Amino acid sequence: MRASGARAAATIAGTELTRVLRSPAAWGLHGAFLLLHGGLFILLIELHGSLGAAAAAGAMTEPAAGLLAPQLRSSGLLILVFSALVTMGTVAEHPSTELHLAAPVRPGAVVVGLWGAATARLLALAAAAWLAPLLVPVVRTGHGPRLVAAAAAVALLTASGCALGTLASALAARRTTAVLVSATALAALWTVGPGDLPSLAARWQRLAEGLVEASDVGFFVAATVAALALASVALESRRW
Amino acid sequence: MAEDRALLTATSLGRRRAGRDVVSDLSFVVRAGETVGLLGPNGAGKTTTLHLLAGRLAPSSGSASIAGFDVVAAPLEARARVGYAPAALPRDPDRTARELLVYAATLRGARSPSEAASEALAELDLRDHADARVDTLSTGARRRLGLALATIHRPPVLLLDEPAAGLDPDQRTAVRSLLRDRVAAGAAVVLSTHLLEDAEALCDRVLVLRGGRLAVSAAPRHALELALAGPADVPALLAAVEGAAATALGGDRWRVESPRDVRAEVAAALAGAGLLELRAVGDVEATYRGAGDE
Repeated sequence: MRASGARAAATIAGTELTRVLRSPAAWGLHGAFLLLHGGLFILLIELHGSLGAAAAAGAMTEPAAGLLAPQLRSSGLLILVFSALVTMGTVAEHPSTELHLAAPVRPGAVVVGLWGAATARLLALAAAAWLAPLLVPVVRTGHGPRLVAAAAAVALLTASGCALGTLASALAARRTTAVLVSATALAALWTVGPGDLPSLAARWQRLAEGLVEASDVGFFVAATVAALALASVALESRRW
Repeated sequence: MAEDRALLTATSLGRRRAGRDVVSDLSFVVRAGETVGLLGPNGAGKTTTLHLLAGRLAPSSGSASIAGFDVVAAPLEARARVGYAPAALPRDPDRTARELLVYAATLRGARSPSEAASEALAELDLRDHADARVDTLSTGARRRLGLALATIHRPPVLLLDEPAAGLDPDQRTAVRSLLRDRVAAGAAVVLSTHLLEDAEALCDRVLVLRGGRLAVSAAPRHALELALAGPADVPALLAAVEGAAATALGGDRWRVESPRDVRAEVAAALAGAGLLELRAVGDVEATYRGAGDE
């Protein structure tokens, strides 16, 4: 008797979310994320006031667009930092790793389940933190399609950041090692692109501002899939 | 009673780590309805052997199969048919015992995970701890929870690493009873233990490991020593006790050996013959000590 891969992944994701939401440490992390975004939002409001005045004086024609860029840039970096934090314990020092290794479940299903839970958690936080506050000025100024593109960008960045974090957790024995490795790797990719390719920040900025290019979407999707595949191999290698 | 059906087969099983053979050239078969004890000093390779059989570690050489499924070539099929209780106690600061069992049952594809968890809690006498968080449970309760996690899917093969460690006498009796029930239902059990009395009480056969190699494979004989108030024809009185063989030790003292635990039957058979003393003596211990001389 064994669960199918999809059912196992869904079970793992659901159970992991329930488990994590009972942890005081997790709520502390959620609080920190919301607090930092709250700070960003206050800056946004202040900036909005000054930009609004500039627009009223005819010095700026698109205040909402002017607001989006700095907010999104900071938000993207925060999402990456918190990707490393929410995924550090997905495999390393996870209380159920032995149970997962003993169960008749493919490592890919375990990895997808744990990554899915972390991604869903961070996406919910991101949505709570800044999509709602941004909704008003963007919709008011007729930038609905941009909001959709920004939401997709958040999802892609969160998914790829959490996938890389899950890979680091699968490779590391300790959570602290995992978070240091993934935060360093994500910060490096954010600043400098691999080879001649654009950095994560550049890709994120384009997507978040509504400039949807297949190469950017493909990059985030490919990075997510590759990191999850490698994390599955790393989890399985704990048997070897 | 063991059947002919082999449920677990190890063939020249080996595992190297850091240039050293932790387990080497280990071959044995465990049949349905059989309990095999893995004995040996610390570092002999008992836990590594269980890890190899459970698919938790990959062998460096040789092979192992569970119910006909190779643990490397068909890992999911093999793992679905094995229950492994590691020596490390289960831990989880955020989930209750029941939630952990429901999770394990769901991962193993149980039709009704809640029902399976309730049954496992009842079998291991954990109902009073069902809603306590795992990390708050006593050592004994966590040990039994580990056994519940290993047995919740009623696997044909059970691999147990020190299953009685940290249990009080009553809990050990309950665990022995559970294992006997599973074996009677046709399961094959391999357990590693430092408690020779557990091996005496449960095992049809013991494998003594030394330095990662099989030193002795022997069926333990349950040995009793008894004293009578006067002369009696003990072999004739024990004729009805299946498998029991009596040897005179001198005076009115006798030694009785049997492939199973016959204490109650011997006591009943000799009750009218002036039985003064009846005690079990460690025959497994003699096997264990003898393995060190080879």
